[in-house]
Amino acid sequence: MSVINKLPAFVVILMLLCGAPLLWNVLNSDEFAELKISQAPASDLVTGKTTLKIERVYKDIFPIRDYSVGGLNALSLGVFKEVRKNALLGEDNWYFTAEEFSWDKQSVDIIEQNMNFVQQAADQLAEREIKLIVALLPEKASVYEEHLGSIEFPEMRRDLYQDISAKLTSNEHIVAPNLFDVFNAKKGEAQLFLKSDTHWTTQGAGVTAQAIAEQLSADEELTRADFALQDDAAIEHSGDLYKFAKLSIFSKFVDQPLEPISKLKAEPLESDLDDLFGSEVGSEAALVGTSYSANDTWSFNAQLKFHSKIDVVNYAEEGQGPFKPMQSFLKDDVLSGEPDLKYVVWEIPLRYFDEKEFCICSEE
Amino acid sequence: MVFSSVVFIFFFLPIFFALYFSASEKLKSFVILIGSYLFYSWWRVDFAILMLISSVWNFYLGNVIFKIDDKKKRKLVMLLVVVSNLCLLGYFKYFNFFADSLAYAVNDGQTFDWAMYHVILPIGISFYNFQAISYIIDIYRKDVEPAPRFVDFAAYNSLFPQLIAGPVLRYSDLAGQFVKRIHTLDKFNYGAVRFSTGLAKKVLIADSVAPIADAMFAIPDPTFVESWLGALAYTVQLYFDFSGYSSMAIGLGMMMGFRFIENFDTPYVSLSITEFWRRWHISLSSWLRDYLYIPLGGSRGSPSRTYLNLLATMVLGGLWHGANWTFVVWGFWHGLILALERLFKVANSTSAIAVRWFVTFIFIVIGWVFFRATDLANAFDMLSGMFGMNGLSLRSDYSWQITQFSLIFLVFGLLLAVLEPKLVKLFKHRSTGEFGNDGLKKGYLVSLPMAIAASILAILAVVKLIADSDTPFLYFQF
Repeated sequence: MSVINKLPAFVVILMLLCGAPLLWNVLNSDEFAELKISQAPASDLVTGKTTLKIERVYKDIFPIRDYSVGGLNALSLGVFKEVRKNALLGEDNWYFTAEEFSWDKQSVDIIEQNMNFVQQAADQLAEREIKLIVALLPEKASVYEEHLGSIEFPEMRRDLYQDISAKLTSNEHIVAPNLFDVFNAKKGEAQLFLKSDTHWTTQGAGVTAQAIAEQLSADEELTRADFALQDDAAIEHSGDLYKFAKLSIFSKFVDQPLEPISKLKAEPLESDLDDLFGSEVGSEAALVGTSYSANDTWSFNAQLKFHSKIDVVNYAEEGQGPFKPMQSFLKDDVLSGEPDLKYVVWEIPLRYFDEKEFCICSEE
Repeated sequence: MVFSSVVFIFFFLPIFFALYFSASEKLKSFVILIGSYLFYSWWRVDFAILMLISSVWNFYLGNVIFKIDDKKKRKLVMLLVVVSNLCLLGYFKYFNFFADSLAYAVNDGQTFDWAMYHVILPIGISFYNFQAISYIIDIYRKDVEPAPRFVDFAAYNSLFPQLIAGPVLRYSDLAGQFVKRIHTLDKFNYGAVRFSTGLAKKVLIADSVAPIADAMFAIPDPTFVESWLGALAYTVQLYFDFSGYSSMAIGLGMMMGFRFIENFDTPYVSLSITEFWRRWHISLSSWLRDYLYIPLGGSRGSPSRTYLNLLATMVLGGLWHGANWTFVVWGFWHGLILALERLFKVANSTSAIAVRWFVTFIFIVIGWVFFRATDLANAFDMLSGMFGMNGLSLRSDYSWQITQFSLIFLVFGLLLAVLEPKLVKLFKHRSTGEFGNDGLKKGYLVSLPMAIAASILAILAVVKLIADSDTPFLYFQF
């Protein structure tokens, strides 16, 4: 039997020999140091929480991890024109999150539970005489269905925007402008969603801000302030959906262009001297929502201030979905700190209504 | 930790093998014992202690049983020990199931106060518990003498290659190997082949088709195409996941010098369900045969009694897989077909092979629907779809979840499962049963094509498992 017949043994032995340097790599890594194993409670060791964290570090800093991920993604994108998971690739480099397509047996129940929470939030704000404006954001895949290519838009979700919108507006305490119609009307004038990102462009944020501002403009008792919308910074943006299609050294095989974004900021214009001696009014409008609002890359709050002429205070949070930030906002200590509040603008991307991960659901 | 993880391959195994091959023959069982308990404790230390207590209990009482001359007394003690093991399994595995079922039946689904605490299922308990029971019964039957040292029994009962997902090993098969086993490069090489091909089966095929199964089983009212895609995907996923794991376990054992029995023998080529159970999870089916079916009377009684024994064995075997009515139905389904095959004497027929293969395969796939479903409603939903009661075509709502990548692996997996006997011949692959207790006479030889293929598969599998997030083995919680 030749040496080649024993190749599997040598391959396995080689893998095993990698154990020592890999262990050294892990033990000397910042990620391992952050675990503070020596300070972890004994119960974590007993129940396996500590070992799970160690395992994650091993996985996350494995030397060829990026190349493995990149190689498989390059194969999937290059040969099959598919993202391996969590995202879909349409035509002309349009990426879409799988969250805008998903539907399963739990979807109806999750929507109902989130809807209940929205209604409760509206009622709770109404008790404090605060009006709620819901900015229900349409799904990128429904607005730009023509860019899905061979992917079919799910029929189950085709009327979802109108259904949710109708349920929201059936509550007398909720105003919800039809942003689906707005986006479809305006998409010919400017690109409203980024190709490689789940988020909107500055223009998409702008048309939403204008639609919301129309609602706020109707209230003449609000304290107005003029803002100037100024260019802040121009950046070349790599979309969040590229995270599901990381290429590493294989990027030369698949095109993943960056997208230019012009950030804006809203600067208050100089006020009259008389105002210096006028009564100070706290924030009369608050913004609650997701990264669409919290991340100033999209300049939503700046444009909202500009179009509504109201100094909107931003309570949006990144990475929590739309419902948990509202849950936090409704706490007494937060609302008590905004005694002059008259409006809350709640930005809710439609796709979060049936997402279990961000659901305000009762545990059964 | 699971076999298909970087921490197992690049952390645990290097340390274990370094210590194992450094240790003297006398100390090797200690290394196995410590390594296996560390392997188990990686999940939870408290349940490792439970396993230790179980091992002490069975080892001590195994010695007691062996020393009793009086047959009635010996039988009584044996039954008490077996019952105690079953009680342990029953509590940890079936308490929640029992409580939920009772609550549903008599309390409008409201959980009883005494059942508020959710019992955690220790991983591998079904396997080490059954192994302990076989040890006790084999001692009672005088088929084997008790292990000479506690360390040997404890090492056998906790042997990490098979601890969390089998094969179900018998002490009688390993007793001699704990005393003496030979380590050669050829044996290690054969083990490496089995480990590599097993890893590839799990990571490259099973994990690639899993998304189809997961997606289709989650659909409400699946159509004909959707339900068959899901059922076939799960049929492929389960086989390659489980047989892949068994192959890895056999490979690891071989690298340590142990020869385990084969657990799968190309089951999807079966021409009857009777034949299927000679090819699928062989270690479990033979365990059920020797410790349940035969003690119930086997086929020694009347035909109707035989059918009852078959049904009872398969239902209990189904329940062993999981605490859910779906497993009971799955077991009943197979038991029923086994009984009918016996009744109509079709199990060993040699006619209409293509038809018999097709019908058997359909029966297997239908059974897997119950196996995979979350509950009976989910199972019947799928079956309704499979019989065309929810429409035919793949809907746009779900078609996006079927990637070309996973579809290719589904087709490939199906072909591989059916053509496996031919591939075994082509690559001159040999099962562990062909080596005998000492493979040196025949040599643990690996053909050149097999060696090259296994090496490439090992590298591909490791690359993919690094790229993928961890996916637990399907039998992880048995």
